[in-house]
Amino acid sequence: MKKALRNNGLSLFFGLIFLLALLGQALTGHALFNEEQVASGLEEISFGQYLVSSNFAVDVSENWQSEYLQFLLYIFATVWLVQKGSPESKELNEPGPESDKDQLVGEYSNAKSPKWARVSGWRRTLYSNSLGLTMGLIFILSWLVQSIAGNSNYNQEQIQNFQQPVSWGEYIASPEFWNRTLQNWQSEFLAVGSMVVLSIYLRQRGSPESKPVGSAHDDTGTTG
Amino acid sequence: MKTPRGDRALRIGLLALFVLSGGALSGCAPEGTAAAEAAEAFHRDVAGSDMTAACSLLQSKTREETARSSDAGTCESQLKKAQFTGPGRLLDTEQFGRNAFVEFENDTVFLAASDAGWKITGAGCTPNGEEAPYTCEVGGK
Repeated sequence: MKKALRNNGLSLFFGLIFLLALLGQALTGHALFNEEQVASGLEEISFGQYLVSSNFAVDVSENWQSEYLQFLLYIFATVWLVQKGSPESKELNEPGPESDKDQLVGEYSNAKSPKWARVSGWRRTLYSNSLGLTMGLIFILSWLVQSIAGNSNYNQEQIQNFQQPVSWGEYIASPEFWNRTLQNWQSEFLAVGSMVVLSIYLRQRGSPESKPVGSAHDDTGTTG
Repeated sequence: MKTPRGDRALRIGLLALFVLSGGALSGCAPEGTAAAEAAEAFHRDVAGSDMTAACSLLQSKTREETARSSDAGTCESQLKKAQFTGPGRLLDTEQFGRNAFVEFENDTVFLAASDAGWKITGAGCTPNGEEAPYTCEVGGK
Protein backbone atom coordinates (compact mmCIF):
# COMPACT_ATOMS: atom_id res chain seq x y z
CA MET A 1 0.00 0.00 0.00
CA LYS A 2 2.73 2.42 1.07
CA LYS A 3 4.79 1.41 -1.97
CA ALA A 4 1.80 1.90 -4.30
CA LEU A 5 1.29 5.41 -2.90
CA ARG A 6 4.96 6.28 -3.39
CA ASN A 7 5.10 4.82 -6.91
CA ASN A 8 2.07 6.87 -7.98
CA GLY A 9 2.76 10.00 -5.94
CA LEU A 10 2.82 12.39 -8.88
CA SER A 11 -0.55 11.35 -10.38
CA LEU A 12 -2.19 11.07 -6.93
CA PHE A 13 -0.94 14.51 -5.87
CA PHE A 14 -2.23 16.21 -9.02
CA GLY A 15 -5.48 14.21 -8.94
CA LEU A 16 -6.10 15.36 -5.37
CA ILE A 17 -5.29 19.04 -5.88
CA PHE A 18 -7.40 18.99 -9.08
CA LEU A 19 -10.44 17.75 -7.13
CA LEU A 20 -9.88 20.27 -4.32
CA ALA A 21 -9.50 23.15 -6.78
CA LEU A 22 -12.60 22.04 -8.74
CA LEU A 23 -14.59 21.86 -5.49
CA GLY A 24 -13.34 25.33 -4.53
CA GLN A 25 -14.29 26.66 -7.97
CA ALA A 26 -17.78 25.12 -7.64
CA LEU A 27 -18.34 26.55 -4.14
CA THR A 28 -17.13 30.05 -4.97
CA GLY A 29 -18.84 29.97 -8.38
CA HIS A 30 -22.14 29.06 -6.72
CA ALA A 31 -21.77 31.90 -4.19
CA LEU A 32 -20.90 34.41 -6.95
CA PHE A 33 -23.78 33.22 -9.16
CA ASN A 34 -26.26 33.68 -6.31
CA GLU A 35 -24.86 37.14 -5.47
CA GLU A 36 -25.60 38.17 -9.05
CA GLN A 37 -29.06 36.55 -8.97
CA VAL A 38 -29.98 38.54 -5.83
CA ALA A 39 -28.62 41.75 -7.35
CA SER A 40 -30.91 41.21 -10.36
CA GLY A 41 -33.90 40.45 -8.13
CA LEU A 42 -33.86 36.77 -9.19
CA GLU A 43 -34.12 33.68 -7.00
CA GLU A 44 -31.01 31.89 -5.73
CA ILE A 45 -30.28 28.35 -6.91
CA SER A 46 -29.07 25.29 -4.97
CA PHE A 47 -25.52 23.94 -5.17
CA GLY A 48 -26.81 20.90 -7.10
CA GLN A 49 -28.52 23.15 -9.67
CA TYR A 50 -25.32 25.16 -10.03
CA LEU A 51 -23.24 22.02 -10.70
CA VAL A 52 -25.37 21.19 -13.78
CA SER A 53 -25.69 24.82 -14.92
CA SER A 54 -24.17 26.20 -18.12
CA ASN A 55 -22.46 28.88 -16.00
CA PHE A 56 -20.33 26.24 -14.23
CA ALA A 57 -19.87 24.15 -17.41
CA VAL A 58 -18.47 27.04 -19.46
CA ASP A 59 -16.10 28.18 -16.71
CA VAL A 60 -14.69 24.64 -16.33
CA SER A 61 -14.53 23.70 -20.02
CA GLU A 62 -12.89 26.93 -21.22
CA ASN A 63 -9.94 26.19 -18.95
CA TRP A 64 -9.83 22.49 -19.83
CA GLN A 65 -9.72 23.09 -23.58
CA SER A 66 -6.79 25.47 -23.32
CA GLU A 67 -4.79 23.12 -21.09
CA TYR A 68 -5.29 20.18 -23.43
CA LEU A 69 -4.49 22.36 -26.45
CA GLN A 70 -1.29 23.43 -24.73
CA PHE A 71 -0.15 19.82 -24.24
CA LEU A 72 -1.37 18.81 -27.69
CA LEU A 73 0.73 21.52 -29.36
CA TYR A 74 3.69 20.76 -27.13
CA ILE A 75 3.55 17.05 -27.93
CA PHE A 76 3.44 17.67 -31.71
CA ALA A 77 5.72 20.74 -31.84
CA THR A 78 8.51 18.96 -29.93
CA VAL A 79 8.53 16.18 -32.56
CA TRP A 80 9.74 18.62 -35.22
CA LEU A 81 11.02 21.77 -33.49
CA VAL A 82 14.11 21.88 -31.29
CA GLN A 83 15.50 24.49 -28.90
CA LYS A 84 19.22 24.64 -28.32
CA GLY A 85 20.04 24.34 -24.62
CA SER A 86 16.55 23.36 -23.46
CA PRO A 87 15.88 20.13 -21.57
CA GLU A 88 12.36 20.30 -23.05
CA SER A 89 13.84 19.75 -26.51
CA LYS A 90 15.27 16.70 -28.23
CA GLU A 91 18.88 16.72 -29.43
CA LEU A 92 19.31 19.20 -32.29
CA ASN A 93 19.93 16.47 -34.89
CA GLU A 94 16.82 14.42 -34.05
CA PRO A 95 13.80 16.32 -35.39
CA GLY A 96 10.99 14.18 -36.81
CA PRO A 97 9.36 10.89 -35.83
CA GLU A 98 12.76 9.10 -35.53
CA SER A 99 13.71 5.58 -36.65
CA ASP A 100 11.96 2.34 -35.67
CA LYS A 101 15.15 1.40 -33.85
CA ASP A 102 15.09 4.54 -31.72
CA GLN A 103 11.39 4.11 -31.05
CA LEU A 104 11.61 0.38 -30.22
CA VAL A 105 8.83 -0.63 -32.62
CA GLY A 106 8.34 -3.66 -34.89
CA GLU A 107 11.48 -5.81 -35.12
CA TYR A 108 13.23 -3.52 -32.61
CA SER A 109 10.58 -3.99 -29.92
CA ASN A 110 11.38 -5.99 -26.82
CA ALA A 111 9.46 -8.43 -24.63
CA LYS A 112 8.09 -5.62 -22.46
CA SER A 113 7.01 -3.38 -25.37
CA PRO A 114 3.24 -2.73 -25.59
CA LYS A 115 1.51 -5.17 -27.97
CA TRP A 116 0.54 -2.53 -30.55
CA ALA A 117 4.18 -1.35 -30.74
CA ARG A 118 5.23 -4.87 -31.75
CA VAL A 119 2.69 -5.31 -34.57
CA SER A 120 2.71 -3.44 -37.87
CA GLY A 121 -0.03 -1.61 -39.81
CA TRP A 122 -2.77 0.72 -38.53
CA ARG A 123 -2.48 -0.45 -34.93
CA ARG A 124 1.15 0.59 -34.70
CA THR A 125 0.42 3.92 -36.43
CA LEU A 126 -2.50 4.58 -34.08
CA TYR A 127 -0.54 3.61 -30.97
CA SER A 128 2.45 5.69 -32.16
CA ASN A 129 0.20 8.78 -32.09
CA SER A 130 -2.15 7.80 -29.27
CA LEU A 131 -0.97 10.42 -26.76
CA GLY A 132 -1.39 13.35 -29.15
CA LEU A 133 -4.67 12.02 -30.54
CA THR A 134 -6.19 11.55 -27.07
CA MET A 135 -5.10 15.03 -25.98
CA GLY A 136 -6.53 16.39 -29.26
CA LEU A 137 -9.84 14.58 -28.75
CA ILE A 138 -10.22 15.91 -25.20
CA PHE A 139 -9.32 19.42 -26.47
CA ILE A 140 -11.97 19.29 -29.23
CA LEU A 141 -14.66 17.91 -26.88
CA SER A 142 -13.87 20.49 -24.18
CA TRP A 143 -13.96 23.32 -26.73
CA LEU A 144 -17.27 22.05 -28.07
CA VAL A 145 -18.70 21.92 -24.54
CA GLN A 146 -17.38 25.46 -23.97
CA SER A 147 -19.17 26.70 -27.10
CA ILE A 148 -22.52 25.07 -26.20
CA ALA A 149 -22.44 25.97 -22.50
CA GLY A 150 -21.08 29.42 -23.32
CA ASN A 151 -23.92 30.02 -25.79
CA SER A 152 -26.50 29.08 -23.16
CA ASN A 153 -24.83 31.15 -20.45
CA TYR A 154 -24.50 34.15 -22.79
CA ASN A 155 -28.17 33.90 -23.74
CA GLN A 156 -29.20 33.84 -20.08
CA GLU A 157 -27.36 37.13 -19.62
CA GLN A 158 -28.90 38.50 -22.83
CA ILE A 159 -32.42 37.71 -21.58
CA GLN A 160 -31.69 39.15 -18.12
CA ASN A 161 -30.56 42.33 -19.91
CA PHE A 162 -33.70 42.33 -22.13
CA GLN A 163 -31.72 41.56 -25.26
CA GLN A 164 -32.31 39.00 -27.97
CA PRO A 165 -30.67 35.56 -27.54
CA VAL A 166 -28.22 34.41 -30.27
CA SER A 167 -27.83 31.09 -32.10
CA TRP A 168 -24.83 28.76 -31.62
CA GLY A 169 -23.47 29.84 -35.02
CA GLU A 170 -23.68 33.51 -34.05
CA TYR A 171 -22.13 32.74 -30.67
CA ILE A 172 -19.01 31.02 -32.05
CA ALA A 173 -18.41 34.09 -34.21
CA SER A 174 -18.92 36.45 -31.26
CA PRO A 175 -16.29 38.46 -29.34
CA GLU A 176 -17.48 36.77 -26.08
CA PHE A 177 -16.56 33.24 -27.34
CA TRP A 178 -13.18 34.27 -28.76
CA ASN A 179 -12.32 36.46 -25.78
CA ARG A 180 -12.98 33.56 -23.39
CA THR A 181 -10.92 31.28 -25.66
CA LEU A 182 -7.94 33.55 -26.39
CA GLN A 183 -7.49 34.82 -22.84
CA ASN A 184 -6.82 31.20 -21.87
CA TRP A 185 -4.67 30.37 -24.90
CA GLN A 186 -2.31 33.31 -24.48
CA SER A 187 -1.48 32.37 -20.88
CA GLU A 188 -0.84 28.72 -21.82
CA PHE A 189 1.43 29.64 -24.73
CA LEU A 190 3.36 32.10 -22.55
CA ALA A 191 3.85 29.50 -19.80
CA VAL A 192 5.15 26.84 -22.23
CA GLY A 193 7.36 29.28 -24.09
CA SER A 194 8.92 30.60 -20.89
CA MET A 195 9.50 27.06 -19.61
CA VAL A 196 11.38 26.21 -22.82
CA VAL A 197 13.56 29.33 -22.63
CA LEU A 198 14.08 29.70 -18.85
CA SER A 199 15.16 26.06 -18.53
CA ILE A 200 18.13 26.83 -20.80
CA TYR A 201 19.66 29.10 -18.14
CA LEU A 202 17.97 28.20 -14.85
CA ARG A 203 18.03 24.92 -12.89
CA GLN A 204 15.87 23.06 -10.38
CA ARG A 205 17.99 20.49 -8.64
CA GLY A 206 16.44 17.02 -8.80
CA SER A 207 13.67 17.87 -11.25
CA PRO A 208 13.43 15.98 -14.56
CA GLU A 209 12.01 19.22 -16.00
CA SER A 210 15.45 20.80 -15.49
CA LYS A 211 18.95 20.01 -16.64
CA PRO A 212 21.43 18.89 -13.97
CA VAL A 213 22.58 21.96 -12.06
CA GLY A 214 26.12 21.77 -13.45
CA SER A 215 25.10 21.29 -17.11
CA ALA A 216 26.29 23.82 -19.67
CA HIS A 217 23.72 26.28 -20.99
CA ASP A 218 24.09 24.87 -24.50
CA ASP A 219 23.46 21.24 -23.45
CA THR A 220 20.24 20.20 -25.17
CA GLY A 221 17.85 17.37 -24.32
CA THR A 222 19.43 16.37 -21.02
CA THR A 223 17.31 16.06 -17.88
CA GLY A 224 18.35 15.80 -14.27
CA MET B 1 -11.04 -8.83 -15.59
CA LYS B 2 -9.37 -6.03 -13.73
CA THR B 3 -9.58 -2.66 -15.51
CA PRO B 4 -6.14 -1.19 -16.17
CA ARG B 5 -5.57 2.03 -14.24
CA GLY B 6 -5.04 4.12 -17.40
CA ASP B 7 -8.36 2.93 -18.86
CA ARG B 8 -10.17 3.81 -15.65
CA ALA B 9 -8.67 7.32 -15.58
CA LEU B 10 -9.67 7.83 -19.22
CA ARG B 11 -13.22 6.67 -18.50
CA ILE B 12 -13.51 8.99 -15.50
CA GLY B 13 -12.24 11.87 -17.66
CA LEU B 14 -14.72 11.15 -20.44
CA LEU B 15 -17.52 10.82 -17.86
CA ALA B 16 -16.59 14.25 -16.49
CA LEU B 17 -16.82 15.70 -20.02
CA PHE B 18 -20.20 13.98 -20.44
CA VAL B 19 -21.50 15.51 -17.19
CA LEU B 20 -20.22 18.93 -18.30
CA SER B 21 -21.99 18.44 -21.65
CA GLY B 22 -25.17 17.81 -19.66
CA GLY B 23 -24.62 21.16 -17.97
CA ALA B 24 -24.07 22.73 -21.35
CA LEU B 25 -27.20 21.25 -22.86
CA SER B 26 -29.46 21.67 -19.83
CA GLY B 27 -29.44 25.40 -20.45
CA CYS B 28 -30.74 25.34 -24.00
CA ALA B 29 -33.94 23.30 -24.15
CA PRO B 30 -35.75 25.11 -26.98
CA GLU B 31 -39.24 24.09 -25.80
CA GLY B 32 -39.96 26.37 -22.85
CA THR B 33 -43.70 25.58 -23.12
CA ALA B 34 -44.39 26.53 -19.50
CA ALA B 35 -42.77 29.94 -20.06
CA ALA B 36 -44.92 30.54 -23.17
CA GLU B 37 -48.03 29.53 -21.20
CA ALA B 38 -47.20 32.09 -18.49
CA ALA B 39 -46.74 34.80 -21.15
CA GLU B 40 -50.05 33.85 -22.80
CA ALA B 41 -51.83 33.82 -19.42
CA PHE B 42 -50.51 37.34 -18.72
CA HIS B 43 -51.90 38.64 -22.01
CA ARG B 44 -55.22 36.85 -21.40
CA ASP B 45 -55.52 38.48 -17.94
CA VAL B 46 -54.66 41.94 -19.31
CA ALA B 47 -57.16 41.55 -22.19
CA GLY B 48 -59.82 40.43 -19.66
CA SER B 49 -58.90 43.37 -17.35
CA ASP B 50 -58.04 40.96 -14.52
CA MET B 51 -55.06 43.07 -13.47
CA THR B 52 -54.68 41.37 -10.08
CA ALA B 53 -54.10 38.03 -11.83
CA ALA B 54 -51.79 39.71 -14.37
CA CYS B 55 -49.76 41.34 -11.56
CA SER B 56 -49.40 37.95 -9.82
CA LEU B 57 -47.57 36.71 -12.94
CA LEU B 58 -44.92 39.43 -12.66
CA GLN B 59 -41.63 38.69 -10.94
CA SER B 60 -41.61 40.26 -7.46
CA LYS B 61 -39.02 42.98 -8.26
CA THR B 62 -40.84 43.80 -11.52
CA ARG B 63 -44.17 44.00 -9.63
CA GLU B 64 -42.70 46.36 -7.03
CA GLU B 65 -41.15 48.61 -9.69
CA THR B 66 -44.40 48.63 -11.66
CA ALA B 67 -46.33 49.69 -8.53
CA ARG B 68 -43.74 52.41 -7.76
CA SER B 69 -44.04 53.89 -11.25
CA SER B 70 -47.82 54.25 -10.88
CA ASP B 71 -49.43 57.48 -9.55
CA ALA B 72 -51.83 55.36 -7.51
CA GLY B 73 -48.95 53.25 -6.20
CA THR B 74 -50.37 49.90 -7.28
CA CYS B 75 -49.28 47.40 -9.90
CA GLU B 76 -52.88 47.01 -11.10
CA SER B 77 -53.35 50.72 -11.87
CA GLN B 78 -50.07 50.84 -13.79
CA LEU B 79 -51.05 47.81 -15.91
CA LYS B 80 -54.36 49.53 -16.75
CA LYS B 81 -52.43 52.57 -17.94
CA ALA B 82 -49.91 50.57 -20.03
CA GLN B 83 -50.43 50.37 -23.81
CA PHE B 84 -50.74 46.66 -24.51
CA THR B 85 -51.71 45.52 -27.98
CA GLY B 86 -52.99 41.99 -28.60
CA PRO B 87 -49.88 39.76 -28.78
CA GLY B 88 -51.01 37.85 -31.87
CA ARG B 89 -49.72 34.40 -32.75
CA LEU B 90 -46.93 32.76 -30.72
CA LEU B 91 -43.84 32.71 -32.94
CA ASP B 92 -40.95 31.40 -30.85
CA THR B 93 -39.99 30.41 -27.33
CA GLU B 94 -36.38 30.10 -26.24
CA GLN B 95 -35.39 28.91 -22.79
CA PHE B 96 -31.85 29.03 -21.42
CA GLY B 97 -31.45 27.76 -17.88
CA ARG B 98 -33.74 29.87 -15.70
CA ASN B 99 -34.46 32.53 -18.31
CA ALA B 100 -36.88 32.56 -21.23
CA PHE B 101 -37.68 34.73 -24.23
CA VAL B 102 -41.17 34.44 -25.76
CA GLU B 103 -41.86 36.09 -29.09
CA PHE B 104 -45.40 36.83 -30.36
CA GLU B 105 -46.38 38.54 -33.60
CA ASN B 106 -46.88 41.88 -31.81
CA ASP B 107 -45.01 41.45 -28.51
CA THR B 108 -41.97 39.99 -26.83
CA VAL B 109 -42.04 38.78 -23.21
CA PHE B 110 -38.99 38.13 -20.97
CA LEU B 111 -39.32 35.64 -18.09
CA ALA B 112 -37.31 34.19 -15.20
CA ALA B 113 -37.91 30.88 -13.40
CA SER B 114 -38.88 30.97 -9.73
CA ASP B 115 -40.01 28.35 -7.20
CA ALA B 116 -43.59 29.39 -8.04
CA GLY B 117 -43.08 28.86 -11.79
CA TRP B 118 -42.24 31.25 -14.63
CA LYS B 119 -42.56 34.95 -13.79
CA ILE B 120 -42.49 37.90 -16.19
CA THR B 121 -39.61 40.38 -15.97
CA GLY B 122 -40.61 42.35 -19.08
CA ALA B 123 -43.77 42.47 -21.22
CA GLY B 124 -44.97 44.67 -24.07
CA CYS B 125 -41.34 44.79 -25.24
CA THR B 126 -40.20 46.06 -28.64
CA PRO B 127 -36.71 45.77 -30.15
CA ASN B 128 -34.35 48.75 -30.58
CA GLY B 129 -31.90 47.34 -33.11
CA GLU B 130 -29.71 44.27 -32.92
CA GLU B 131 -27.57 44.91 -29.82
CA ALA B 132 -29.70 47.30 -27.76
CA PRO B 133 -32.07 46.19 -24.99
CA TYR B 134 -35.80 46.04 -25.76
CA THR B 135 -38.09 48.80 -24.49
CA CYS B 136 -40.90 47.35 -22.35
CA GLU B 137 -44.32 48.64 -21.28
CA VAL B 138 -43.93 46.72 -18.01
CA GLY B 139 -40.59 45.73 -16.44
CA GLY B 140 -37.48 45.72 -18.61
CA LYS B 141 -34.53 48.04 -18.07
